[in-house]
Amino acid sequence: MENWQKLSQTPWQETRKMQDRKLRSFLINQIYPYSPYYRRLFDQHKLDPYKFQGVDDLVHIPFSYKEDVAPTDEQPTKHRDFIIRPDEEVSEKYGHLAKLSPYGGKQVVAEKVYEYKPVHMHFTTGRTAKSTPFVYSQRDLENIREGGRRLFDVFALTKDDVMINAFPYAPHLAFWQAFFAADALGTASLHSGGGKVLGTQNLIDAVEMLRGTVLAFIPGYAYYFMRQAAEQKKDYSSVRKLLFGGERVPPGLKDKIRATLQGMGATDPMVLATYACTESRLAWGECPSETSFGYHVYPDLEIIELVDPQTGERVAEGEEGEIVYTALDWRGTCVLRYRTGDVAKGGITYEPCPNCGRTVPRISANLQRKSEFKEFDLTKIKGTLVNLNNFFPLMMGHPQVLEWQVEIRKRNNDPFDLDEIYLYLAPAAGVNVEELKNDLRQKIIRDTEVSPNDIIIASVEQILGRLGMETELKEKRILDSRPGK
Amino acid sequence: METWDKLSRMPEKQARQLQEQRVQTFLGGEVAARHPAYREAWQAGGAPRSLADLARLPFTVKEDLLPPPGNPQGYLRYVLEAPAAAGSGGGILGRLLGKKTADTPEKYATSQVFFSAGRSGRITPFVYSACDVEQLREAGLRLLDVLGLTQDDTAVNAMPYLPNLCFWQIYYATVGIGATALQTGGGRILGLEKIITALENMEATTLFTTPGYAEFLLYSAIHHQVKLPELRNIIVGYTPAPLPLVKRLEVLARMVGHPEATVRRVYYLNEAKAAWPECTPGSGYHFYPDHSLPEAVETAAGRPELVLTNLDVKGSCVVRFRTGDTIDGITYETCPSCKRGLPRLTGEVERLQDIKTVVVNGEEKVLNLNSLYGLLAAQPEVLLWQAVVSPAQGLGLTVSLRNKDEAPQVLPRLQEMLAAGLGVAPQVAAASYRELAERLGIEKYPVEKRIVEGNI
Repeated sequence: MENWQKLSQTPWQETRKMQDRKLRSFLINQIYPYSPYYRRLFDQHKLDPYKFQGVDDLVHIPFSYKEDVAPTDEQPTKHRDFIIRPDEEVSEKYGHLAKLSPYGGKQVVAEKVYEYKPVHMHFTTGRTAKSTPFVYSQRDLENIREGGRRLFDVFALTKDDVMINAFPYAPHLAFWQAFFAADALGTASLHSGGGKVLGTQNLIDAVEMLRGTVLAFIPGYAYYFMRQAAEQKKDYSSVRKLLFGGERVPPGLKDKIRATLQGMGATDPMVLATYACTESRLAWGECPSETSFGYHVYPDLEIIELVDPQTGERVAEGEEGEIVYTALDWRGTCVLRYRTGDVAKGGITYEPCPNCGRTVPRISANLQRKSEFKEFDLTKIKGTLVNLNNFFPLMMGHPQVLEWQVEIRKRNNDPFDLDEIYLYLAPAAGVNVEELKNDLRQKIIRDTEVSPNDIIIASVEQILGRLGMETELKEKRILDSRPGK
Repeated sequence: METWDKLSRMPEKQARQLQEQRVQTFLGGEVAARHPAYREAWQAGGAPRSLADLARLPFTVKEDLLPPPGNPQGYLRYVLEAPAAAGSGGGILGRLLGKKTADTPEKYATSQVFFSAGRSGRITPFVYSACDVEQLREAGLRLLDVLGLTQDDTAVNAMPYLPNLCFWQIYYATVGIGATALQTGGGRILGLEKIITALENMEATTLFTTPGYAEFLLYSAIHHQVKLPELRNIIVGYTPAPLPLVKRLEVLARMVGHPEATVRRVYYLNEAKAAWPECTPGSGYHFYPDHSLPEAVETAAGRPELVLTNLDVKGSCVVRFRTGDTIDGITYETCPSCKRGLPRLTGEVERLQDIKTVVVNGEEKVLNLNSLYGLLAAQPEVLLWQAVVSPAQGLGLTVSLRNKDEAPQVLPRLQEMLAAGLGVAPQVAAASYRELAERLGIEKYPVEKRIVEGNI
């Protein structure tokens, strides 16, 4: 791991050379000898790890996909083949070394155990495939702690901050990245486990009680939470920053949250976002600014490529593309050229950040899930693709919308009939409901190219219940009730 | 904290001397100077300098720790203030040498805020400083040593996730020793199927969970014919686990897991800032005399209440804190089972809040519902149970039976047995396993609702 302060000021060309060196070493010393999956893949494709000169040669390695890693009923332990595991090597090679070592065998073995033995794990959410464990060795825990330290540095947080970690507890990256970041920096924290664990009222009280300066939330829950706190006229004047993680952040939502926080006494609160996926094993953040300058990544710990989602060809700097992740200098579960399914609309840039001056690459904060283009049978011509992503910025950012949910059903609940889209809506107080409906109908057609079959007005409580705001790990904004879905 | 090797072999006399010394230095020095609430309280009578002085101090109760209405930061009255940075250098020489003494402000910095389990119904912040978290790691290693667990064990932590001691003690213990571990957050977070799959796929040797969830998980594994041959340690705590329940869990564990699987107990007390294990069931919870000073104080309930004094903490700190848990007593004798010189809490830990007064036939009766856990665990016909207490109507008990056709014979027998054990005959009814599991909220709440108040 490089020194972050130095790395974030190093010119990009030099950093790229460092990545080339690290990639060569990683492929030769870790991936090829110790990763069963990639060793097989290299052999199948007749790839010689010694011939890799650097990042440019990565294109020779076939992409890895979720289905390559995720366990199945037939292969429940498939994910293990992605773990760097020199099990036999450790006992054979280091057992022998241990006997010869002048420092004592125990020390040698302990070092290898520290480097390779899995001690911690996170799971993917399992929405599109079976939940997959990603394991960390003690050495990897140092990486995630360092990642957390860097994340907080990018956010300009200090050890004097008080963080309320409201990410829902689960063996998932969001909660644990916040924990490791606070632990590494020495920031006072309440790792609440979210509303499902602590209860929203207790959490609302906790922010005031502990004079929290930094709040870490899932976006959908944050707005609900802030509204509740504002109704109770809580004193949130201590809050300086709100960090989002776990899902995309619609731009309008930032404004709504900021306004609500200001209403509770916060002075110039900043709403900032993180980006991560379980496979990346740490999170990246955007530096504090009203305008996002993108997620600052850590080039000594990963290689980020952006590719055309259809052709898989690399795209140029600044061009839209799917984010492809390659681990660098990790142990535990490592993936190479992993297709994240996330599309960065503004691409990746290697220019120094105009806001903070750091020279690390930045991924555009305008992200979209590729997999959320769903196929609908909205007409007799089957297979209309609808981008459900577009509901989020529209609904989350709409000033007259308090809560919402989209439900997809089959007409007459008949699996062979047409699909129907219903929008449940809780409008803000005093809003002309018919005008709001008309406004939304127009905007939904504009943004998603479909028209909802009906917009159903419901109370906030009814929609919160439908969303599972207090009971689910993540609220169900898009509910696919079609039989068999 | 003292070195573990030395502490676990410490003779009784030396352990008591160590505590006497800590009372003098920690309570008489640090707490008297830096603890807002006790500094004020001890102003008139002076700070305690000995165990005898301590015994004369008033108790601290849970309500004292709650922030008063209108003052959300009131909990800070029970948090030690950090010394000024200027005074932290260990004198002129120390400062010149850049030496840091034990009293550096960094050690007092808040690391995590835990919340009490919520028996009071209101959240009570309890601050763990950077120093406390370091000690929590050390306490985790001690815990695993007493339990005989090593780096080679593979653990599934199914303690319910809450920002409190029970989950985090196991996290710090497993990561501290370098064991492979999955921190599930319990059934409410990950769900039964995923936890069982994890135990199976990881070939886990050790499961940390609550007694109620352990029972639910093992029954489910038996029902679905899952075998976990590597599972040999089930470590339970957080809710009562009397010896008959331990025995029952052990029988189930051996059906599902390793033929020699054992069940051990751990006592978790947020305010102690360390969990206390038993080396074998019934040996007593081994506590650390360099860190805590428990007392057994007589109560009207007939059993002594456990009262806790912190002896080496930063962050939140309590002196003579009434835990609301009763025990038989405290012994400083060497543990006959593991031969460690650690003092131990003896007898079953019971909750004062589970001692209820009900009116039966116009007469007030005091019921110790803690005994239900043991009485019902000894009944092999009973799979699950829930008690409903109504001050006006008495006690109701719903059970799920192994064989529902036997209800006409089993229910009256249970009623008779409980009448003899409790002094009051409850109304006993049967329910299906699924219905009762739902009512208990096994995967809905952090811990199942065994004893509830309501209409029968």
